[in-house]
Amino acid sequence: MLETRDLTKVYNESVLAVNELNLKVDDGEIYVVLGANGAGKSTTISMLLNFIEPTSGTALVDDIEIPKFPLEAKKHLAYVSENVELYRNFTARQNLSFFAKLGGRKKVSNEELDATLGRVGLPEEAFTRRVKTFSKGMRQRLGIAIAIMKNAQAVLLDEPTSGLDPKGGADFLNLLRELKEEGKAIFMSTHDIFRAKEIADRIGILVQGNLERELTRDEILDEDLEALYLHYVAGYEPEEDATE
Amino acid sequence: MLMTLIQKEIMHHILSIRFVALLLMCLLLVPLTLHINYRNYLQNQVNYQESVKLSNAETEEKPPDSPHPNMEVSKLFLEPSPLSVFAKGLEESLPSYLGMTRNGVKQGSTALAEAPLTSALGNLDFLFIVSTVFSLLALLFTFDAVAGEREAGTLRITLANALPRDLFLWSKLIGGYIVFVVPFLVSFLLGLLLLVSQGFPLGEPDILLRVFGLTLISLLYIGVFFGIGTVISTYLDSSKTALIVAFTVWVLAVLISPRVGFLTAKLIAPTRGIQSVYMEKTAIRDNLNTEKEKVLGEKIIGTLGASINLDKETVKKVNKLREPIDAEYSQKFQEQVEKVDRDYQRERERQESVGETLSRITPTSSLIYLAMNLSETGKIKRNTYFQTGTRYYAQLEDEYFRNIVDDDFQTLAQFVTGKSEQKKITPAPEMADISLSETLRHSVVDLLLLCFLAMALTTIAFLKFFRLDI
Repeated sequence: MLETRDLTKVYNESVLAVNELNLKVDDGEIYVVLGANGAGKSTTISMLLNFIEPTSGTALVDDIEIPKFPLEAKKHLAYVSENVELYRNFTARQNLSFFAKLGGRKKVSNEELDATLGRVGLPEEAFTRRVKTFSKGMRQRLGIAIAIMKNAQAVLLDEPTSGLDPKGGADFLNLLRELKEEGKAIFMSTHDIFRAKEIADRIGILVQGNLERELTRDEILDEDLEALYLHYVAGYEPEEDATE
Repeated sequence: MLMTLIQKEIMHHILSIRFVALLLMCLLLVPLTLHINYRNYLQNQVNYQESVKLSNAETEEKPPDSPHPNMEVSKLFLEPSPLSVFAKGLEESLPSYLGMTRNGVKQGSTALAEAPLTSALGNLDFLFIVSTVFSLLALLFTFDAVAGEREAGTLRITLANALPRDLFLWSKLIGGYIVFVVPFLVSFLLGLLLLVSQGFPLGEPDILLRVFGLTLISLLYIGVFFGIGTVISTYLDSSKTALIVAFTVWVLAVLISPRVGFLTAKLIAPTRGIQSVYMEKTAIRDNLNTEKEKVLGEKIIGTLGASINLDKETVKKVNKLREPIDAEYSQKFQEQVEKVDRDYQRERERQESVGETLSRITPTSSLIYLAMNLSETGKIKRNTYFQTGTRYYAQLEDEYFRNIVDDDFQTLAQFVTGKSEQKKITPAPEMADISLSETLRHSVVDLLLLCFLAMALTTIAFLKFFRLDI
């Protein structure tokens, strides 16, 4: 379970990036946060990972307070970033093995590594290929393999589908569904309204650091998410029907 | 965890193109320059021995009775140091010998003067490779240590694990340093083996300790540049910017600052040229000789009358008259020449001291001073050389020059009485050995500076990295 309590970040004592954010992601739930550039999505993830310190408020993972016990909290967190470049001169297997060890695994067999790489849809010939020859989609798959390998309770994804082709995006969502079924709490930030609508159990719309609206799965299915998003993010009002 | 990170770091470097560049530089440059410089040393040693032999033979043969004031009656030769294979230092810019003349110590030509084109291009020795090539490679190994990981997104993925930040940076420093230092040490060892196979006296305890010292300070210097690269990398987001900044820092630290220090010193504390000092001394001698002849002439006329018969008896009387005048003018000459020398020496020492201090703004200068001292081709060797020359001159002055009188009366007197008994000229003394403890005493400032820089830069990098918003 992932939770934020009045989580706030102010840069240089003047720029409000995140304002008293309160949200909760249960185990086996996918929470998608939508927002324009600079809305505070990445700042929120950075605070959840203790990359930056919150100005006030706190965040918890499995009831562990992240700012107070960052190292303990990080054992329960896996992370997939937007641009997963990884170590370009390493093979997929070498990258995965390294991050698995960092994630706390003492020994990882090649079979286990290959199984995980296969699970995220990487072709077998790519296992021993250097990552610099990978497409963005392949690197993204490897990124999620790293998160899977860590077997953490909460998974944070920072705009993971940006730049993926439709097939890559669809495969990626399937992987998220699998993680959800395993009971992971998944927190994902994105601009991609359509994929958010497809996968999210709940959606939060973040505008200038404020959580303006939170939608449940039913509300997501009922409402015109695009219009709602544009309304909050850009201030657009839905166009009136010309025939009326 | 640290081991995992260090292993990754080592692997990361080994698979990169810069490691290939390092390997090539190490394996080609280090043994090759040691080999070439040892051959040069052997040649210089042969030249030195031949010159000493020839000079000693000339001195022993027939010392001139009344040599011209500019004539070199004996020479103190500069013996090449076997450790010059590592750092040529000042050896080639020092005069090959110090000639002893009645006017003072005259400097022989330098090796640089004999090969001006080579000197214009600079020395290619172990010190140059470490100070210039390896410093650049060290920056190439570290400029993207943090910035590169930030760009690749691996910093966030790595630190998303239960990993203290200091471990990450330590792994960067240790892993990178190991990958850098191992080929460096291996190539250096190969170079040493090559030298030993050619007869280099590495087994001598003093030389072995000095070579060990050279190795340690090279490692320390590389460590300083690892620190500089890491600081740049932690302060900058983009590895391209970090590379440009690192290269600029390298140009300033290695190529510009050491020279600027001495250029500034020339403006702050100017000195006269050595030739002008020598001419000043010649002028003093000429003036005093003219004055002495006038005084002596007046004295002789006053005592013996205007017209004298130059027989043995008269010469005896004249010699008696001239003795106190000779002593007085010899004393005057010594005092004036010593004053000129002292003033010139003071000017030079001040200029050098200012230049040396200013140049220490960069670690490259400290390394050069340290390496030259350890290789016995630096300031200590130069000072010992000139001090030995001065002492030798003082000895010759007492034993030989002081007794030479060459005014017109003496020439006539010698013509009448026949040549006086020839005195043998003492051969040039051996230069005193510079002990390792003395070398360390002179090098302690530079050693401390390098240690301080390495620690300070590492601390800055850590402090910045701890506060970094990832």
